Amino acid sequence: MRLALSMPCLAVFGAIQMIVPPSFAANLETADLTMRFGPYPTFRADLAPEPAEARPCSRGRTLLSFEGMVATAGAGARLQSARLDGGIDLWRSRGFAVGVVGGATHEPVPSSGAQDRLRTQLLFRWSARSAGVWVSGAADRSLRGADPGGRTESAGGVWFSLGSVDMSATAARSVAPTKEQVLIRYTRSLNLPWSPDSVATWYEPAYLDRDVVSTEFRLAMGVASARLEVIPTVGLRSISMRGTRSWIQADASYWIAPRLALAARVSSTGVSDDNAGRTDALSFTIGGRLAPWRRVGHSVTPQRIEPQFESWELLDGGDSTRVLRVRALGVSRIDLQGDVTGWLTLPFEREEGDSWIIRMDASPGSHRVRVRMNEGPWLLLPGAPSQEDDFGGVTSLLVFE
Amino acid sequence: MNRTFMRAAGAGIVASWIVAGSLMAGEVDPRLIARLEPVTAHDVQRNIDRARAEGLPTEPLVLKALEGAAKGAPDQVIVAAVRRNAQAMQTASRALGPRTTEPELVAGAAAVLAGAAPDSLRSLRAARGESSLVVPLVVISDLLARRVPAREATQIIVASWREGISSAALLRMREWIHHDIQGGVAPSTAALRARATYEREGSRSPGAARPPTPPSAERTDKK
Repeated sequence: MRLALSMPCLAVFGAIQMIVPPSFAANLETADLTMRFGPYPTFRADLAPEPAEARPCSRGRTLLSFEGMVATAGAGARLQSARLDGGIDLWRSRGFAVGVVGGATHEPVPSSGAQDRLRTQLLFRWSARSAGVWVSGAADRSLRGADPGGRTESAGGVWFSLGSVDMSATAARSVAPTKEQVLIRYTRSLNLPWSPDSVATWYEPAYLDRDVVSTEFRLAMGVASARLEVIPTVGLRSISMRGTRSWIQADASYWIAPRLALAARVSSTGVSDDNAGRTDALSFTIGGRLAPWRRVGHSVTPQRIEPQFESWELLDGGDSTRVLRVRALGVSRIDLQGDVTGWLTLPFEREEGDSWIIRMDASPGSHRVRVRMNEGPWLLLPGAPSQEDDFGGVTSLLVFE
Repeated sequence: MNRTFMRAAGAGIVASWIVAGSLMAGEVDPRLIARLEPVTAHDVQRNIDRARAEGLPTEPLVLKALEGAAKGAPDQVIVAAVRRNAQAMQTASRALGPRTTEPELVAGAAAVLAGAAPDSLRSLRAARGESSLVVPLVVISDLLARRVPAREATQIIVASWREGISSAALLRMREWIHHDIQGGVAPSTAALRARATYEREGSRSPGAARPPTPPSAERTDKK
């Protein structure tokens, strides 16, 4: 049954990846499919310009993410939950970004029908090369189901990187209005004089509006080597009137081929919303991970920041030379090609921090150039004059007077 | 050996002989030999020699061929690009007159290739005889690359140039237009709006109150 469910999903995902144009795929850091089998098989598809799986709390940009969980306990398999998220950055500058994430959740509940929710999250984040912070606010609205109103969530986190080790800490607080069922005891005297036998007692259900406040802290660590990625996470969740519970989860991926990995997860209780946990024992699931666009040859801990131009300027270098200075975030290498290099690829030198320079021996006039970051696609200098290049593209112009 | 093999070998020897002979007859720029197929290098060099005979600068044409090689363009496209640039330089040279410098010629050829009429180049030269025309020509090429209609682009730049706009102010006006286009304004409207602002503000530094162009790097391989 599980196999029968998973194969069509795999085929659909493969077909999507074939349809997506390679130029789009070149900008993706994460585009992978993970399937795990066990008591709660999960199917997860991520499409993101920055890695999400290897950086548990850095809150990189998410283009599209889908996760489905199937429960196999009891008779047959049934969908436990399905979640679809899509996000976009509204504004980015100098490492700061404001993004919005929209999502939909579907949870079939056999006893009371399905729960369908729409969620909107506003995300503020600042990212440097090896550290970052983020805060977010989210609200969701129930479209269908027993829950009466919308939930709100505020969260924040910090992450940093030391070599191939990522560390992150997250705190989140959510408030969910619920209708709690209680039984009210009624008594009535049947006749006088009073005696224990003359009193009738019965219970009637009633619903009380309550806000269930959930607070969670989690610490995650991502460790990556050439073939192995391990992300252990520990958490502490406190839910009003239901107590506090700690939980642990560890994800591991082992790349058996450049774009194919074995994926495993060990998790304990406490990850469900009601704090009741799905099971008190450790559960172990194993599956596969397919990442057709994974950048092979790079470290499996991908770049934290999508390379981003900040600014550029042209300086007089003296002795008829010019200096092109570029400021860019998340960059380990910048190259220049153009008239001034005889269309050979020459690397910029790192000046300091995010500043890179290249010295050019150039005469007055206009010179065609293009640049690239981290050996990615060739780019125009933002804001510089440009012209068609006779070869189906566009080229930037540097004007020396 | 069968007959087909003999024919192929014979054709190969003849082709090699022709190429080798041609290369020996005229000196081919070593950069072209290093980066292009021998036959393509020869074809490019032939166009360059022709341009030299017409009194045109040759280095821009060598660079155009090297640009094509760096961008992985097919051989025939590279040869065609060099030929087209040589013709455009000839057109620009006639329009700009005998005092034209090499940078002006290169910028003028780019403007002609982008769709600027030779008359607009003549008008620019007539407006400010001795001033370098590199910046106005670059701005015209840029506006045409951003889909500003050729008529509006050239009229606006020529008129501003005639009124004495400085090169720096012209580049800033280009930034306005770029900014408006990125903001969703139609290219022709953006150009006319920039011109109107310049007319209103005169020689005061245009664009000072405008927000800078957001730093978004576009890919070079899109049209």
